[in-house]
Amino acid sequence: MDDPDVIRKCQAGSKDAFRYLVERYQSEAMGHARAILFDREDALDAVQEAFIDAYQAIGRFDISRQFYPWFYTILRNRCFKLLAGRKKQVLQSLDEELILASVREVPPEDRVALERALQELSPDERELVTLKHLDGLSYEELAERLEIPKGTVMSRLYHARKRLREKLALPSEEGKRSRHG
Amino acid sequence: MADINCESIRVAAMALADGETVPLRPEEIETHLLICEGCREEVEQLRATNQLLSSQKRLVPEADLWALVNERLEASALRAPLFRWRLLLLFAIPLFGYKILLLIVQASPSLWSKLVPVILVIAVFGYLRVNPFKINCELTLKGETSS
Repeated sequence: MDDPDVIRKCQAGSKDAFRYLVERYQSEAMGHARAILFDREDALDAVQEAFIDAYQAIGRFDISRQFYPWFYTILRNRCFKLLAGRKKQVLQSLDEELILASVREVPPEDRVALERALQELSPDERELVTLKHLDGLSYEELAERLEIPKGTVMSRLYHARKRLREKLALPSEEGKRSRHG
Repeated sequence: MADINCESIRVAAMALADGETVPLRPEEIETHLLICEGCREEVEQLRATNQLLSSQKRLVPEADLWALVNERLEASALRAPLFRWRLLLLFAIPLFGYKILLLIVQASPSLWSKLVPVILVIAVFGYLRVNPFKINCELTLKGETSS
């Protein structure tokens, strides 16, 4: 079954069709929410809320568009709303992977260092860098996804990568402690 | 000015490394990188960071959210009739009030002239969202500082 058929059924009121959409995109959405929020529980909450928002708005969805980019806008709104409600950024301990998967070719310490550096970026920067490098989106797609001009993508991405490089070169105190202790 | 130029070269060089089209000519960027050591170093380091990033894979967490989502959907569906009742009340209460007013005025026509100014004042203050009877405790005398 392809997305337009499923969405048509959702628009006709089928909950089973919506279940299909949830099951199809939940893992991808969780990955994206974690990249923005850097928190497992908050990501779980944001994704659920986003699916509820999507269910309520699906009647207005234009079937000629792709579902996930539309859903992603809803999801990131939910994520940034959650972030706005947060008193301060919570630094997670990196006992478990949050954004990056273990890859055989990459030494675990490199992955941990990168994940730590990503954690120290702002949510917007982290979102941009991960969408570019982990999802391989083009500037055009990034501009569309984040609703900003292509030139802005270009400069924001440059600054985000620059900050990431600085963070990688200067590991945080906590990072140093975990490596030595 | 030189910094702005360097930064635009760096931004364009990274976009070019991403396979994007940039407003500067590639030769222009390469020439600048050959003569500007600062830019060359920066771009090399950023390209290395890019390589490190591109060798990673996004974690796709196992998730089974349907039960949780469905629970919330059902809860919101239960709340929906209540919302419709509220909408109904929104129309019903003013209509009921209007009918009561008519009955009062029919019973005693002189009341109308007393009620109209009161209704008008309430409507104006309601519209402005200002309570004319509220006492402002935050007023301070000139020269006095609030603690």
